[in-house]
Amino acid sequence: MNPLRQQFEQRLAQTGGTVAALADLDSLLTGRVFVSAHPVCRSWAARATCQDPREADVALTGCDAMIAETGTVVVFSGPVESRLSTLTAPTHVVLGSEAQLSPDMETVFERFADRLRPGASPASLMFITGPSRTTDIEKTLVLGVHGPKKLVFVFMEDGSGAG
Amino acid sequence: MQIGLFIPCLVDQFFPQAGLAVARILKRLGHSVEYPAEQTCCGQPAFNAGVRSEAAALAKRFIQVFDRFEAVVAPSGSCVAMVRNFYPELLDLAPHSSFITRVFEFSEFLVDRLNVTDLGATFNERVTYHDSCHLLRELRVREQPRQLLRAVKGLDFVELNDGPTCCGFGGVFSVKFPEVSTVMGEDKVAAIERTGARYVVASDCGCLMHIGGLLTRRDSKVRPIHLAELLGGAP
Amino acid sequence: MMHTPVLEEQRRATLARALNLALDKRRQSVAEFPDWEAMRQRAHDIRAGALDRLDEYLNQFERAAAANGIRVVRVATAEEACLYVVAIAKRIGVTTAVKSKSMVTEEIHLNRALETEGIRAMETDLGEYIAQLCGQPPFHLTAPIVHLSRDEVGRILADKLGVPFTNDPTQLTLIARDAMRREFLTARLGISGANFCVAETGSLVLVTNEGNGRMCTTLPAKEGPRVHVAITGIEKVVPALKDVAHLLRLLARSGSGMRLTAYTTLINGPRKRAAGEETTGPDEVHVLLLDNGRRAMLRDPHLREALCCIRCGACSNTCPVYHRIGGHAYQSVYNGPIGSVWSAALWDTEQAATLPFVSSLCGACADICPVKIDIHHALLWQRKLAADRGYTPRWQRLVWWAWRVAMSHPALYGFGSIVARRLFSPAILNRLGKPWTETRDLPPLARKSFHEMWKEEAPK
Repeated sequence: MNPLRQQFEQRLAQTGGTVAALADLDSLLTGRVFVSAHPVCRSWAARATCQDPREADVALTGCDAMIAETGTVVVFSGPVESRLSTLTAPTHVVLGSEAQLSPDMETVFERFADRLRPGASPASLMFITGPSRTTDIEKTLVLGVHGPKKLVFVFMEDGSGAG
Repeated sequence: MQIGLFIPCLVDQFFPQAGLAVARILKRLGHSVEYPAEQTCCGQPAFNAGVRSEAAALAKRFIQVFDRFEAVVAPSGSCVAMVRNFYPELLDLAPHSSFITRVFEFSEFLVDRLNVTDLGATFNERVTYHDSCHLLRELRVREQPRQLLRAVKGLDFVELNDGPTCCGFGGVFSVKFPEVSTVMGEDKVAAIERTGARYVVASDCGCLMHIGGLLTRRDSKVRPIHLAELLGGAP
Repeated sequence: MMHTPVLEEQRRATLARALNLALDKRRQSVAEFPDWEAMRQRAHDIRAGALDRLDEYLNQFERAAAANGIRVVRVATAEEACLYVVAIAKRIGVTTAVKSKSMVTEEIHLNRALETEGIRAMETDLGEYIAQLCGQPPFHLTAPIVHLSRDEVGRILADKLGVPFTNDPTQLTLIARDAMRREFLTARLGISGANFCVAETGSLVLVTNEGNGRMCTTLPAKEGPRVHVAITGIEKVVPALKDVAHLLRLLARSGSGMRLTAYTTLINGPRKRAAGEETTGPDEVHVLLLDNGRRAMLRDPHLREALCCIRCGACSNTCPVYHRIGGHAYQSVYNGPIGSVWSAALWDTEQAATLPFVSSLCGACADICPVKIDIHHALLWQRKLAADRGYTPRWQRLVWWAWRVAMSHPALYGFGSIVARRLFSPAILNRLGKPWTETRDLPPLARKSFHEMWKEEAPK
């Protein structure tokens, strides 16, 4: 497996997130489903049963990058992803491909340097590392405070390929 | 080597044996040891209280008293830290001024400067070591006392495994905030007792006084002892 | 003299469990980097370098943020900052604001100022929400209710929200979440701090684990003007995004042992309103850059170091004094070791001037600090400033003077030492040594001082 993908999957799992196979994506889209306008989600657009992420049980979105060092999904706000599509649904399913993996945050900033100039940058860059969490009460971990309780990442590739 | 012996106030008043042991060991190693009788305090208490002008007067005096020696050695990490780390700021000296680099804490002097770790001492007891904060974090001396202790025949060394954390002495702190200081010390003493050691060794008499004061108050069998005294054995 | 009560044993145990857990996780997380020390140095250099050219970077940030559509306002004092926020609330006609955890808003007592004007500011960090419900200030820089047990939290929620008692953290979190969700869906004024301001791109960086920070800055209300106000200290500016990446790598690891905070958000501006651009996000974003004493700190080379702080809370987690007295004993918004340095710098009061003395100067704080602030040396410097400002009582100065005179005359010191050992038997010493000796014995004075022994017979 791609070593960056391996690190990403391992570290995402340590944050409480999960990785699912593309073949299992269908079974994840239950209840009120919001599907974002991201091109990668187009094949599932027909599964949408809800237009407002505030009311969704599951939100399916794309992403702009992933960070292997921290198991992080990076999403830019804009016409395809809103600031809410990744936040309000109890389950957030993210679609991405191996080519979007970066080793660390620095590399993400370098990759998108053109889009991060003043006046040109997306209004919000969201670095999402696992589900929403708190340890405020006696350091006990509780998932799903204001953001999703479940974060599921799905690679477009099956991961068995070399490289 | 012409060594000036710096005996801090607490050693002078409460633990003179530790000072004598330092002198004995250095002489045994073939050095000339002198105790300048006009020495008093390095100025640390006033410095820590924020009263820097009074501290500076004593710091200047200290340098006058000890400037003529090739090396100055003290059985105290705290007082040496005062000279090495705080005199530059207090007196506007270069941090590597020739005087400051000649002042040493006892264990670092033996191990780093004289390359001695085995003093041929024997001590048939289980012993633990308390890292005094200034020796550990100001002077970064951690391994040297352990090397010296491990070379002692018959000595059963056991680590304290409590951080290392402060014993709660902190000079004026233990007077200004006695409750906090005591709780810190009680936790330290509990950690010491958990090791099953018969002696707790340290390189600073402030810590030894504080830990010792709590040990005797609870009728503990554990005894505090300065590293030099343990290594120096009987005269 | 400030009274610093030691926490009762049960509370101390609750606190120690939580703090030690954070320290353990930090240790594991830091162990991933063999070059951690070099990383700390780099983090320090980034922060110190930013402070060296602060005005340049602030101006750059201001220009870049303006290009992004953010209104940047410089505010000199707490009052100015509060007035600005109140004015916005009145302009857009809200009586409720949702707040993401921010120490700067605690510093300026924003909630009180808003309340006076009839505006309720609701804290939305779970810990802060519970602390607000029971009327307590935050106990810790990053963990506001680290001292409370689950039973206590359960009683607070039952009492204040009228829900059935439970002590299950998951249930308690859900109860609070539901209460807050209703507010989030209608709130139109969101208030936050900022962890960093990026000069290069005009971005605000905001980290939260729960997602409340994103809620407060996204403001999902469907109607009416929505405004996000971020209030932060001028010292929070960093030159470039690559610097942020490095500092973030150290921030979460130092505080909680996580590799990165769950939600790290770069906010570059309000909702883009061009057709088809963005559907959610505030109509306006305002950034208040607060001085409130920071420029004075900048002018003092020792205090300037303290401005490097990135508020990870690790120094409190490791501080043996904080472990015993807890955050409230400091009676200041900023508590723990770095908090004592800050408090004494920002507030010229006797209370704040005492805080640098509430430390054994053990230096554990400096060793753990991810940006390598010499925290205990800054405390020592603050002690000097306290003495200079006259916070050391006259009689104490007199004692120090007398002490110096005695110590400057070896004969006087020697005479005193001989007299003392004639007069002070252990019993008298233990009586004179109060309050020290209430809990601890003093060792007996040696029969002869080292000085006397040496004079009689230097060892051969």
